[in-house]
Order: sequence, then structure tokens, then C-alpha cells
Amino acid sequence: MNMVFNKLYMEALITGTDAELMLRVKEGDESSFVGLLLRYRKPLVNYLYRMVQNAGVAEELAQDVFLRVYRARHTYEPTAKFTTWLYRIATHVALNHLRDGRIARKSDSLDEPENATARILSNGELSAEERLVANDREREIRDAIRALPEKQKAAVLLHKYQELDYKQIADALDCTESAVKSLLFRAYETLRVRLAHLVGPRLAGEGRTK
Amino acid sequence: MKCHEMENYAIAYLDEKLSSREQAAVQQHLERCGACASRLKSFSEISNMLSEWEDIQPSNAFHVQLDRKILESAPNNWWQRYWSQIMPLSAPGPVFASLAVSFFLIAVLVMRYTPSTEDIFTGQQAQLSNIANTAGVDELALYENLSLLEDWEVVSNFEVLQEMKR
Ligand SMILES: [Zn+2]
Repeated sequence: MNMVFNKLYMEALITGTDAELMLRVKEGDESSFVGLLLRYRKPLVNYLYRMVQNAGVAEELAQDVFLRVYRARHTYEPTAKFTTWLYRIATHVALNHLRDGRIARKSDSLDEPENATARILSNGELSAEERLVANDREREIRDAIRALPEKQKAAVLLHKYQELDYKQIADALDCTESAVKSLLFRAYETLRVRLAHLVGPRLAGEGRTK
Repeated sequence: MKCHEMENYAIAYLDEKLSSREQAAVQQHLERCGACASRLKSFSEISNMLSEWEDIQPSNAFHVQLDRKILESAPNNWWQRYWSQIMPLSAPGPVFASLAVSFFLIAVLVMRYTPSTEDIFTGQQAQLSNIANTAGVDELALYENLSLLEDWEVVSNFEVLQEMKR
């Protein structure tokens, strides 16, 4: 069967809320697990990528997260939102990796600018000069986020890129909603100092926002 | 509202997640406080700037690698299934291997240093008759004391038995 058709067919077939899919996985329906994978593979890889700042490591960690979800299927209870549970596991996995690999981290970051360059080069809307500037800006943003304390970093990423609400972030990070707001406030306070020089007039084509 | 209270309201204000009453209170403070106003302005600029960090695409090998990990972790033959049932936490390969090796070593040690049942029995008899002789009591009564038979360690270290072996 054609791969693309197969994928579309699967996506159309796999309907229901995350919790419904997970309950079907619990009952032994493996195609529902594929459904969850299709939904969360990309956001999860990107969350972990921004946490550890290495694409290869992020993929491996994302696989570990899915493996844990799969192995925990028998004990799954739909009490908390599935996404919260998923990001809770992912945060745990990422923080463990960062704590284990403090020494190795420096070498991790070395092979990353290539990835970033490859991605930006593929953006045909930018001129050569704009590409270089965008590349520099992105590296500065990444460095500023990498330098944040771990919990602040996780809070910023879950809030900004994964678009979780305060309650979900609180559950994922094991703290109160008020603590989440305070983590975010302090993170943005640090980022605004570190990135102050990037704020201001920009080159055309850089006003890309979400 | 005071400046220090902004720590709890600033982000939610920018996200437009405050109640209309809170929203108005923050707004009122920002009109009077230049420092907080410029802080919130730069927060929102930073937030926009973070959007420049673009998503990556997971590689095509993602599912294949995950499949392999799931297969490797799944109990796929009868003894692994049995093992996972009797073990509350599944033991990873190295742990299982070291457990198996230490079990084997212990088994070898026990077999090497355990006297055969014949030794135990003769030792037992020797010991019993010895006790009986020195105490001058009925031998038969002592034979009924079977708990001594079980304690092969006492028996094997008994002097009489060691002399008999020579
Ligand atoms: Zn103020």
C-alpha cells in the first residue's frame, strides 16, 4: 500500500480524544498508539530539542518517552490530561539527561549550528545576508534559553512553544500555578536583559511571528 | 496594585488570561508606572523574538527506531513473560545476567562445601554416641532428637567426625 495513503488512512481512522486513544491502547489496540504517536511525535521532539538543544538526542529521548507511555499503558487512568502526563514524563527525561550529561553537553552544542543553518538555508524567502543575521539571532536566542535555570527553561518552553496552560505546566513541573507565573516572570526578566540588544529595528523578512 | 505584585500578573496579563477586574487593575498600574510598562513591553518583544526559533522535523527513522525499542523491551518469549510476571519490576539484561552468575557461584560453593548425606549421618551417630557415653544416658532417647540431624554445620565441625576422617 502507498505510504502516504497509508498514513492519511491511519490518521482518518484514528479518531477520539487522547484519553480515549490511550484507553484503547490499554485494552491492547496498538493502532491507537500509532494515533498518539502521529499526534505528538513532532511537538514532543521539538520540546525535547529545545530542552537539550541537540536534534539527535531529542529524537532518542522522545522515543524513550513514548516507550514509557507504552509500557505504562496498563496503569493508565484518565485522571489528568494526556498531554500533561506526556510532558511531565518528557520533562523528567530531559532533566535527567541534562543532569547526567553536564560534562558532555558542550560537545552536544557544537554540531547544532549546522542543523540550524541547513534549516534556515532552506528558507527561500531570505537573502544571503538576511540568512546570516537570522542564523546569528537564532543562536543568541538558543544560548539565552540554554543558560536559564532548568525549571525556568522548561516553563518557558511549555508556555511559549507547546502552548500549555498554567495548570498543565504546574502539573508537569510539580508546582503551583502561581509558581509557574513566577518562573515565567523571572525567565523573561533574564531573557530581556540577555537579548536586549536584539530588540529594535529588524531587517525585512524577520518579522515572522507565530 | 503594587510593582512587586506584577510578578504574579504580568505574564497572564500578556496572555490575556486575567479576569476583567484584574486586567483593569494591571492596566491602571501600567499607566502610572513607567518601569513596569517598559518591562511588559520588552516581555512581549522577547516572546515574539522566541518565535524565530523554528521547529525541526522528526527524522523518517523515528518510528522504526521506536518500534525496535518497543520490541526490545517487550517480553516476547515464554520465559521473559513468566519472569515479568514474577518480578514486579522487570530486570534489565545486565542485572539479570549478574543475578544469574551470582546464583550459579553460590550453587557451586554450596555444593563444594556441603558434606554428603553419608558424612552427616556417620557424623551424627558418632556425635550422638559420644554424648551418650560421656553423659551416660540412653542412646535411643538421643536418636529421637532429630533437630540435631538438621544442623549439619555443627556435625561437620564436630571433633570426633574430623578424627574419624583421618
Ligand atoms: Zn510598577
